[in-house]
Amino acid sequence: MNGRRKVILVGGLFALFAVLGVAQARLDALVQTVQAPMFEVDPYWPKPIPNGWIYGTVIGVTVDAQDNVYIVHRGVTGDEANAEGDQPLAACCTSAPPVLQFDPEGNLVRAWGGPVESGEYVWPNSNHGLGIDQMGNVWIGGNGGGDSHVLKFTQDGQYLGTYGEPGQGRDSNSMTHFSQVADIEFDFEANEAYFADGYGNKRVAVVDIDSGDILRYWGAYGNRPMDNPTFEGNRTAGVGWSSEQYQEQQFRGPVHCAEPSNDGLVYVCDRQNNRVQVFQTDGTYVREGYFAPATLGDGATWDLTFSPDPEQTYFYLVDGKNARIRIINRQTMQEVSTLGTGGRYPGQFQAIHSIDSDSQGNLYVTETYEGRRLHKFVYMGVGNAARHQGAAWPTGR
Amino acid sequence: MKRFIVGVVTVSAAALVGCSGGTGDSVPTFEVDALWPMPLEYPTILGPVSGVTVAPDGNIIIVTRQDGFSSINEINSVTGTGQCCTPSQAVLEYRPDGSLVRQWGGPDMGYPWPVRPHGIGIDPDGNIWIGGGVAPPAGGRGGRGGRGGGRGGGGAAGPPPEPTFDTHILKFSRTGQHLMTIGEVGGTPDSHGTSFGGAAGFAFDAAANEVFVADGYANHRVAVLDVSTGELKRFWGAYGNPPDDAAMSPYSPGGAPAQQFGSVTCVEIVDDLVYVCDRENDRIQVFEKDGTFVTEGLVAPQTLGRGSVFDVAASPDGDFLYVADGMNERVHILDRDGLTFRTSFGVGGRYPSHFRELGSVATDAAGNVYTAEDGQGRRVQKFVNTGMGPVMMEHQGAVYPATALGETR
Repeated sequence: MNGRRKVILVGGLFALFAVLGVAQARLDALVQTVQAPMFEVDPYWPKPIPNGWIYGTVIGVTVDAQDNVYIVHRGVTGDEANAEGDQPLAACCTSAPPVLQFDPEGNLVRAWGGPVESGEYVWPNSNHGLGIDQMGNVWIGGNGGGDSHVLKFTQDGQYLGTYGEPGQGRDSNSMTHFSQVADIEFDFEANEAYFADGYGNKRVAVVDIDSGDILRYWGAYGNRPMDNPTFEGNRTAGVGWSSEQYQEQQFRGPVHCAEPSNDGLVYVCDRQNNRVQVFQTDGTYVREGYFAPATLGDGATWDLTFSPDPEQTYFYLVDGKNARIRIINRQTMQEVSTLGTGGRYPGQFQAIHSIDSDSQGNLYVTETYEGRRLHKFVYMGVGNAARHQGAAWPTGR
Repeated sequence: MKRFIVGVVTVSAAALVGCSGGTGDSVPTFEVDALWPMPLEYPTILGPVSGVTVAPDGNIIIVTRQDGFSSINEINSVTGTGQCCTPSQAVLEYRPDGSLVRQWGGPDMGYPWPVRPHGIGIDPDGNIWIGGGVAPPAGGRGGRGGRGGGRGGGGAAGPPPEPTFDTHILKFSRTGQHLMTIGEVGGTPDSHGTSFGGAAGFAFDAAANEVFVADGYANHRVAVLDVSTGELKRFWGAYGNPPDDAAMSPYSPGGAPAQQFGSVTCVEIVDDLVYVCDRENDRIQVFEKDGTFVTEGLVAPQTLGRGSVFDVAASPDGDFLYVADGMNERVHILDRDGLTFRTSFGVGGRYPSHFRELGSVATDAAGNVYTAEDGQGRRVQKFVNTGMGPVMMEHQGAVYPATALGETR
């Protein structure tokens, strides 16, 4: 097990119960605490947005250098969009524009994006993931049919360019287009963007920030990626499948995150293989970690971000299938604590999807499917944390 | 005024100040408590919350559905694909502080649980009444929230076949002991018969030992039963007319008032008057207990689709009515006298004080308001009564605590 994890018996169980504010928490979950980053959810962040606007699936989040928070979401349809159309049925609701920018206090600052009739650019069929570069420009991918490109905008929504060619199919070895890019991150020193590519392709693609040229790419373990790989394991409920048994030689995908650390490594989410693979920036394989390895369906490794300390001691791994943020020691790749639980209240998740951190170590996470929120968890320092921090409601409640 | 400093809201809010009533009389004011009730233990989650009531001792009791869960990614610890989540039992009782007292009930427990439980009431003896909301295919709720997933399989002996829709009412002790089944299980809805048609709500007259049933989604009546025996004593339709189950033309704002009820989704008794929700017709009708029509009031009468009047609760002093409106996703506050609109709170969405498929409302003795969201909302929310105040806005939107909107952290 993890050598850094300290297990401390707590005598005052009842007091701890009250402090944590966790109803019915299992006794065994409270007997031990661990040294880990601690958080409290802020139930009133962000502030309500105007105009009867409503969020759809919130499918990407990123934080800029000034700690502004950007999300991309997909809007609503059907009986959740009753205020839309020529003859609205009711006063609620109307989809908010896809890109929303909040200031650190949670005020909505800007709202923009979506398809344009002018044909100036092709908005993704299903926008997915966004990143913000050192110039403050916003990059957006998509995982719908024909979403084989990435769009670049100024932070107030002025169109700047298209990388890759829209309307193309899967080709994991293409040097000209992508296939359903899930997330975008940056190595500012090298002036490179890392694309998690994606739902169609089975690779990490590294792109020049200025030209959008594909510089290099790789698959699982640094192998040449294959579009339709065969896998060893029978991924079916009830047969005892565990991703850890097979060490599949290709990404099962979706390749859902590709995050450069500040010590020259890249952390890649291979979602349905329930693993994070670590590479050097040239694609040389370093190591991997499996998390909830028996997880089926959507998989367990959806997105991650690093703790903001200089060592980036931890990474926070979003597990949207098991409704938890896993707090992982980056050196050992072992889980030290978790944050969140299932449900629809603050600190609870229906389908947690994306995560980013601000300069203070606060976490911002979003939910897809029927969750459809942006949550903020306030960083409370490293200390004696519960092994499972649960919904992390403020102390005193 | 800090509440109004919400980005662009400032502009629209200012434009709306003072639009309402003009009487200057105070109304109850509220702040949402985002941290109520306390979280359930991992990996337990609530299903759609289809009813809420407050017991005389102040405990809050909800009924939840155990259908409609996504098979893709929701009850993964049931489908064997992941560690979370598992539905709670159907009925949950909370203390006023939000801690869970008990949970009980659901399918395959020896009594005919409704296909889609809907509506919950507590009678003068402290027993719990639960209805069911599945209407026939033509009943107007089509296309929403698929069933399937989450319902346990039957044993080898085989449970009775599931009813096509809910034509009965269940009565339980406070702790979940099954006491009585009223109406035919799997029967045929009939607004003149003893089969119910999606009973959606209950009100009780202790002196007369009677229960008033909002009946319902398939039937189009208020039905009055004996609390002890469940015997049907009388019933009536809109304006006190004999109910008629024939198809009606859709509600049209400004059109001639329908002479029959659409969906009868609530019944409440206040000061010996019976208040009835006629949801698709955007109206509350008021009756004497014998069914004599008294008056009616329209609420958000431009509302189409499923209508605006889902459920009603009264303030403890009886001066105000709170109307749960799951189409416009807000709670309307009306003067009970005259059924005049004063203000509303809440807005569409998934955050605190936001609603998705708001369907039920209840009040406690301190004047706090509890709301329940069906469908994909799946919460019971508490709105703390912060005293009387002037109407500042026609539509208040989300009522976050003022400190939450002024503070940064």
